[in-house]
Amino acid sequence: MEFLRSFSRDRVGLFFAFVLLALFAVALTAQWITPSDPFRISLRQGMRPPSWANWLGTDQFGRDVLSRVILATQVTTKIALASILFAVALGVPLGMFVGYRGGMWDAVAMRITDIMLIFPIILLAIVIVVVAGPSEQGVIIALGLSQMPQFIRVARGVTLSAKEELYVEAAIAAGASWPGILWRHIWPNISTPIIVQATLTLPVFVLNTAALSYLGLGVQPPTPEWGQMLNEAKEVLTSAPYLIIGPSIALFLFVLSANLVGDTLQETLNPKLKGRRQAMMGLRRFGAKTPAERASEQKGTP
Amino acid sequence: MLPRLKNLLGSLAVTALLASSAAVAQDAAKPQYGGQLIYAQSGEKFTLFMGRSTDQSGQDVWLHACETLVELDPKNEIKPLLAKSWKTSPDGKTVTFKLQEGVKFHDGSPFNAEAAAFVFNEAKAKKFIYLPLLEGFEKATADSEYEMSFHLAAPFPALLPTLGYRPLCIFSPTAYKAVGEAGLATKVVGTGPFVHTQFVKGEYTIFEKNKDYWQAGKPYFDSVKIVIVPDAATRTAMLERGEIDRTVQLGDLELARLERNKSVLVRTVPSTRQFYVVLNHKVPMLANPTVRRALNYAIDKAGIVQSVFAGRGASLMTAPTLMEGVVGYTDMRAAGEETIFPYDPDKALALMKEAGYAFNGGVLKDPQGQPVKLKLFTPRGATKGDYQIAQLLQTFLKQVGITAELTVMESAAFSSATNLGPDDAKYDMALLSWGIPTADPDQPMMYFTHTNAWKPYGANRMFFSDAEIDRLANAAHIETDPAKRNALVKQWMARLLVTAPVIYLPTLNLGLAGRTYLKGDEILAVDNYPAHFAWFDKAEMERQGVKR
Amino acid sequence: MIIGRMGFIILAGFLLLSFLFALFHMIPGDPAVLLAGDNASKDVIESIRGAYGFDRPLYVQYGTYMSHVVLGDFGVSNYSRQPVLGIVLSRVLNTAQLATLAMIFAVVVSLTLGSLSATFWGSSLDKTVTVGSLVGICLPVFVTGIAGIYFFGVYLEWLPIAGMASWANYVLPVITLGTYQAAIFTRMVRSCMIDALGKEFVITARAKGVAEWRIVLTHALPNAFLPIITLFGLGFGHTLGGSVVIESIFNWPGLGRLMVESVLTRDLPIIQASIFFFAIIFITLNMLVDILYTWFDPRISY
Repeated sequence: MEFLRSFSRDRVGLFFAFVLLALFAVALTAQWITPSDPFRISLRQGMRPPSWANWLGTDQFGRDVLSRVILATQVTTKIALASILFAVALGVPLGMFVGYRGGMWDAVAMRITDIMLIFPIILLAIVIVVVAGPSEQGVIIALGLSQMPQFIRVARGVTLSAKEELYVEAAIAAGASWPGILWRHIWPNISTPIIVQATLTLPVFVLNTAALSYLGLGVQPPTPEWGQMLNEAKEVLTSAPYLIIGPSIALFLFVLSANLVGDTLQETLNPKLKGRRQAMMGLRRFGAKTPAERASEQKGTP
Repeated sequence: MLPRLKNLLGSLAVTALLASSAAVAQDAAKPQYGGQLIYAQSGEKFTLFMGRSTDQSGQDVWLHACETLVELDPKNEIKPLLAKSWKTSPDGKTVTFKLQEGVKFHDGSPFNAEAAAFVFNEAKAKKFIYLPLLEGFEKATADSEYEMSFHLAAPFPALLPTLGYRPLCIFSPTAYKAVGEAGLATKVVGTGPFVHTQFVKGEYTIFEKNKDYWQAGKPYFDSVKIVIVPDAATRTAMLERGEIDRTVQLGDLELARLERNKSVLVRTVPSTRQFYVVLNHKVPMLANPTVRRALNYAIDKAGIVQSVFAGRGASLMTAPTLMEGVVGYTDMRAAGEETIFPYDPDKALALMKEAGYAFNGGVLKDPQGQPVKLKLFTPRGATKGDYQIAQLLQTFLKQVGITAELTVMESAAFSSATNLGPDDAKYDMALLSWGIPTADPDQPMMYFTHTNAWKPYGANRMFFSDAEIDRLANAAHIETDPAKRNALVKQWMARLLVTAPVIYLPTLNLGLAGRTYLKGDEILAVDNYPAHFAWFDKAEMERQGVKR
Repeated sequence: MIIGRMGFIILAGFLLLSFLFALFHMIPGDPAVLLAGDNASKDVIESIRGAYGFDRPLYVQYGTYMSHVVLGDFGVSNYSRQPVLGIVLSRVLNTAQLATLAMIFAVVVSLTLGSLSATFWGSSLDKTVTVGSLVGICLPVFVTGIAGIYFFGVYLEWLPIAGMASWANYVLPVITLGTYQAAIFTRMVRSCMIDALGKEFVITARAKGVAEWRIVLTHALPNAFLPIITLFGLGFGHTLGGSVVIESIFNWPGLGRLMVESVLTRDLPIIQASIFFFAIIFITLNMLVDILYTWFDPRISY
C-alpha cells in the first residue's frame, strides 16, 4: 500500500505505468483484439494508405498493419520477458554463488562479466545467429546472455552485503550448508533489486529485439515484429511512408513507458537513491560499478 | 528517337522489347572523351579470379579488363570479339578460331593462339568452376600464331554461347604463371579497354583507360570506379543525388518514383533467371507427378509478380525453365493463358483427389488419413524477393490445405543445406532460382533435370529421373542442326510440363538505373550491364549540376 | 596490476580465437560451396577445396592458423587471398574515426546540455532537455539514420549520403550515432550534476557568494567527474558496437560492416580477426576506464 501511494505520487510515472499496463494487456489479448487476421494476404489490396477499414494501411502483401502491430506487441513482449527470465535464471544463482564463495571464483566471474558487459549486444547476437540461425530463440539467447552479467552483479552485491550480517555469520558458524544459507537467508533479500534491474532491462531488450529484427537477424517473417516491419517499410519509404507510422509509434511508446516506469519504480523502492538514481541507473546499464560497489569488491576479493 | 524511347518506358507491356530497343535508341550523337564512370553494385566480390567465381556481379568487373573470344549482344546474338571468325569441322568435333592480331595483354605480353589455348587447357587441368559448361571439351591447340582449335569428344552446339560467358575471358598466361591464382584474385590482367589498377575488398575497384587498346578510338572514359553499396535504398539515394552515375538491382517498389526523376533513366529487361521450388522426389508424396502438377496449379504467380515485385521486378513464365532470348525457346503456354500452370486452386484440389488425397475442412489428408505437412527451406537475400516469395507460397499452400513449415536461412547455410545428395537432403521443398548465363539450353538440360546430374554431381536437387527427359537432353547436346535441336528442346519442355519436376515460378526482371547524361551503356538479359564503351554528355552533366 | 591486465588480455584473445575457430568450423556453410555457386558439381567443389587449402585436416588448419597469429599474421582472406591484417586494420581505423567523432559530439553535447539542465533545474529548459533526451533514447538509429538520408541527402541535397570521401560525408553518420549516445549521456550528466549541486560544499560556496557559473564549473563539475568518466569510457565501447548498424546504412567501410559481410560469405579468417580486434578494443577500453578511475578516486587502488 505504502509502495503504491508513493509510486502514485509521481504523476508522469503513474501515467506511463498505465500505458505500459495497457501495452501488456494488448500483448496478452492480441489474438482476440486484432481487427483482422494479421497473416491474411490479399495480394491485390497491397500498400493501401490508412482508411476506415485499415487504420494504419496495408503492407506489401495487403495485410492489415494495425493487426500486425498488435500481434508484434505480443511477440516483442514475449521475447523481452523470456530474455529477462533467461538472464535471471542464469545470472542470479551464479551471482549468489560467486558472491558467497568469493576468492578465485569471484575474481574470475567478475573479469568475465566485465568483458561480457562491454561487448555490444549486436556483435554477440551476430555470432549467436550464425550458430543458431536467425530465430526468436536466437534473439532470446543473445539478449539474455548479454544482460546476464548485470544480474550476476546485482545478486553478487546483495549476497556480499548479506554475508556480513550477523545472523548469516551465526548460521555459518552453526555449520549450516551453503545452499541452505543462500536459500534461507540471502535469497529473500534479492527479489527487490532483481525486480528493479529487470524493469530497467526491459526497454533495452525491446529496443534490441527491434534492432536485431531490423538487421534480419531476429524474428523471421511472416511473424510480425516492429523492427522487421520497419525494415520492410524502409524499402518502400518514398512510395508508402505511412507504413512506418504504426511500428515506430508502438516501439517508441513501449520503450518510453518502460524507461519511465523503471525510473519511478527504482525511486519508489529505494528513496535514498533519489537524485543520484538516474546516474546509477545509467551506469548500471553500461555495466559500470559505483564507487560503493568497487569498495565492496575490494573487500570481496582479497 | 527520344519520344519513342519515352513511349517504351511508359508502357509495361513492352518491357520484353526494351533491351534491344534501348540500345538502338541511344543517341547517335558523337561520343565525348573523358571523365570517370562511377557504378554502384550491391554485392561483395568473392574473388576476381574468373576460374573460381560464379559471382554475377563479377561479370561486370571482368569485362573492363578481360575479354572473351566471342560475346553476346543485347539481342543474345553471338558477336566476334577476340576471335575474328570461326569454323567447325565436318564431324563437328573441331572448332577453329581465327584470332585478332597484334593485341597485347596489359602486362605487355602478346595475345595469340598459344595464350588462348593455355587458358582453356589450364581450366581443364585445374577444374575451374566453369568447366562443366564445356562438356566434352578435350583440349585446345595453337595451330599457328593466330589460329586456335578446340577439340571436342562430340559435336557441341552450345560451345559458342558458352565462350561468350564472361568468366571464360582470356587472362594473361604470363601474369598467371608469375603470381598464380592467389595473385589474380585481386588483379585482372587481360586485353580489355581498361587496365585494372586498384582493388579494395568490399569497397571499390578502379580501372584506368588502356591507351593501347586494340579497338581504335575506344574506350571513352578516363577511368571506371565500381563501388560496392549493399543497401538498395542507399544506392538509389546516391544515384538521385548524383554521387554515382549508374546502379543495378533496384528496389522494385522504388522504380515508379525513380522514373519520375527526369535526370534518371530506368531500364528493365526480363532476365534468363527463373525462380522455382525444388520438390524432393525422395519424399513419397512428391514422387507423384500428379501431386506435383497440382502444386503448380496451387500457386498464384500473378499475385507474386504483383506484390513481391510491384508488377515490375518479375514476369510470368511462358515456358518451364527457359525464357525468351534463350536458344530453342518456344512459348509453351496453353492458348489464351498468361502463364504456364495458371493459378487454379480448384484444379489443384481435383488433381490431388485424383492422386488419392482428400481435402476436408481446410486440411489436405494423404491416403493414410494424415494431414499433409511439408518443410520449405528458403534463403534470405540470396536473390531479390526470395524469402517474400516463400511467405506467399506458405499462404497459397495453406489454401489447398497443406501446412508448409518455413525455415528461413541465411544464404551460406542455405547453400550447404541444399548441396547434399539424395540420402542426406533434409528439405521437402526449397526455393531457388536458375539462371542461364549462356542463353543456351544445354546447361539446364544436362545439369538441372538430367538423371546424371543428381546432387552432388549436378544441380538436380529434386532427384528427378525421367528416361524421356534424359534421352531428349542427350540428343540435343550433340545435335548441330539448329532446327532439329530446337525441336528437341521443345519436346523437352513439353515433357517438363507433364512431369512437373519443380514448382515453376516467375522469371526475374533486371533493372538498371543511370543518370541521363550517361550514353551508350547497355543491359543484357544474362545479368550483364556493360558500360565499358559508354560516355558522358558533358553539357548535360553540367546542366544537372554533377561535378567530379 | 597493469601487467596482469595485459596478460589477461592476451590470454583472453587466444581463448577467443580458438573458440571462434571451433565455432565457425562447426556451423553450416562451406566456403567452397559458396564460391562454386548453386549449380556446381562435386568435383568442382573439391577442386576449390584443394586450391584454397580447405581440405587439410582441421587440426592442421588450426595449428597453422594459431602459429601464424602469434607472429602477427592472421592469414589471408578465403576469397580475395589478401592478408587479413591489412584489410582489418584499415577498417578498424575507419570505425575508430566514426566512433571517436561521434563520441566527441556526444560528450560535448551532453556535458553542455546536462550541466545547463542541472543548473536550471525545473526550468522549461530543463524540461525540454529531459524530454528531448528521453525521446532520443527511444528512437533507434536505424530510424533516425534513414530519416536523415532522405531529408538532408535526397530532399534538401545538403549532404552526401554514403562513403567517406570528404568531410561532408562524416556529418550524417557522426551526428546520427552521436545524437543517440548524447541522449543517453545527457540524462546521466544531468543527474550527476544535480547530485553534485546538492552537496554541502556547494551550498557553502553559494552562501559565500561565489558566482553560480563558477560553482558549476569549478565545484560541481569536477565532483561529478568520476561517474561521468566511467560513463564515457564504457559508452565509447557501445558507440563502436552501434557503428555496425550505422555503417550498413551509410555504407561506411568500417569493421562492423566487414564482419557482417564476412559472416554471410563465410570468410572465416576475416570474421575471426574482426571479432578478435573488436574484443581487444573493448577489453583495452575497460582497462583504461579502470585506470582512469583509480587516477581520479584515491580511495581505490589496485
